[in-house]
Amino acid sequence: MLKKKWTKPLGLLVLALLLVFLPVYVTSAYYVHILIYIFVLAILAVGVRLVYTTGMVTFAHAAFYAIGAYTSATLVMRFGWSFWVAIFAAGVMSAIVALAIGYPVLRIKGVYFFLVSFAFGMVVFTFFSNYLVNVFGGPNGIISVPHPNSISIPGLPTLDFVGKIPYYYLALVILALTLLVMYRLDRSRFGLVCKSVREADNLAETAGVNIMQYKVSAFVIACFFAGVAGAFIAHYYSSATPDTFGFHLSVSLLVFMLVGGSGSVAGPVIGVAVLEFLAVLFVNVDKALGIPPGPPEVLLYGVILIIFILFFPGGLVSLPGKVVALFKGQPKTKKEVGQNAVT
Amino acid sequence: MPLLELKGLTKYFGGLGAVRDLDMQVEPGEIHGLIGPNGAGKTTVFNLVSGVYSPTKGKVFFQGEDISGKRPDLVARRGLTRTFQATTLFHNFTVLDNVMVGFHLHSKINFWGALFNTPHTRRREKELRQKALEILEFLGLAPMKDEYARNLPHGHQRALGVAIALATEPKLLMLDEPVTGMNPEETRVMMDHISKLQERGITLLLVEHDMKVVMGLCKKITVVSFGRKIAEGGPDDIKKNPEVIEAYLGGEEHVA
Repeated sequence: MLKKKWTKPLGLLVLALLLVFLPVYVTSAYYVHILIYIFVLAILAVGVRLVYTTGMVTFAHAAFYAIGAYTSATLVMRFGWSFWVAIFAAGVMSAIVALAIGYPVLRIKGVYFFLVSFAFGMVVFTFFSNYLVNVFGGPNGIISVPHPNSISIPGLPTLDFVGKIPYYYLALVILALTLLVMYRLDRSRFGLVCKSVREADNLAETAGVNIMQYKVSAFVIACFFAGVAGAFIAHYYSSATPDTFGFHLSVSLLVFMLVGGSGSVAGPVIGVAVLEFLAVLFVNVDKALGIPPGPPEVLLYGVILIIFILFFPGGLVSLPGKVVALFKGQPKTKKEVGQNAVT
Repeated sequence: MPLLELKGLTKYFGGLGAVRDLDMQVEPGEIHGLIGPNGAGKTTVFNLVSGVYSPTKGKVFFQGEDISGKRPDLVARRGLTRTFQATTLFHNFTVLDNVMVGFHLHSKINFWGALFNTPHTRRREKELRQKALEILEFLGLAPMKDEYARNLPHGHQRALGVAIALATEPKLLMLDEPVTGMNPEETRVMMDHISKLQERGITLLLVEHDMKVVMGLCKKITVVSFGRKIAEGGPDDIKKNPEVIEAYLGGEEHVA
């Protein structure tokens, strides 16, 4: 029992150290970029999962990511704000928009919410590509977004945002904070009540739960982090263009969650990591074979998604338990919770 | 003053009058039965009182306060809660966690306390866990506290529904068909629980098809048919009432 108690924190410590020292060994800028992008996607995917704990499947997450990116770029470039304030303001901006649309929209249940959130994503996309062109740059977006100003943390060398390494650490820190908040919420009474809304909202209500309050809170928190991630990516890419935040991203985020497993905070993170590495693998294979990348990967993504929804509703995180159960010859453990019910 | 009072309560779904001009009073401390043939509007009454529906006309008073059309969570906050006809539970939660959700109104843990897991939060969670175990003990569910709700036998699932309701610390508890689908032994256990709830000072409003249960538990019974009240009184009056016999014989069931 003692052994089991220590495996998890120890594993996390090893993983954390690995991630901190990874840039020492990974010298290829390409792979550092892949890692940074994985961190950003993970911040978004755990947000989608938080919204899902209240039973809502959101298709609008890329929109809040976009709002964060455009907010930060505008504040820094037009109003001369420091990046370090703007990135926070970007999160707040996304959260405010989430609050404003959350109250009317989160009342809608099931497939209808899914469609409305999709429509909201399209509205935001269309807004940034077509309106206030002198501010947001239309289809070309905002270009030449400056790097964050250097910061000096006592005890550490001054961080100048040149090259990819400082961005790597910044993304890692943001991800760590996001995961910490998500994990704490998941394990707390807040998380329990959120999940009770998904399980049986009518029963939760008779237990005195204000279900809208919980749905909106989860949505706003998730969108805050999406906004922060958007601000990060705008300064990292030096641009904010509508295409970065398109519809396909919202789809991918749901795939990450479902393949990784929605039952825990770790699930979507693992989903992002595995599928993104798979994507890199595909690119390399394509290169080796001398064929252009494209449809085969998309096809394979689809097949993976179907396989997981049908056969592994608990996602990738449930696999070790299944393997152990297989070797011990036990029947299915009672801990397997079907999390694939997209309501 | 009655604990619960319905005055001219009326609910139409389109042209269909599910509940029509219903007057009813539930006195503090009693077990009040609400019976009637299938489709008589009993569950609609529950939904109107607990805030799932708003009445078309008429009012619901709880402790003298007008609660007509108030949201279910606000009604629960005032000390009025209900169980559901179907086995509505948090199926993928453990038995203990089901009850822990029931403590929502009394947890005294706010968002930031939950996020930062403050000493206050940890202490409160421990206290609530203890209280939850007491409720489970009371309903005979303590041995299966770590089991998932979906794995419980039917009788225990019903009891768990009552356990969640108890955690909200209700003054009035409305039970929607608490023994439906139970075998005689499970029924006997549930009847025993219901009597004990009354002894604890909880007023009960009971919708039930099983006449033995209703007659055995309730001192006062209201009979509805096609949304209207057709009789009210003690078990013996109800058994003899010609209108009640007519309603039941005309329907699908017989008065036991």
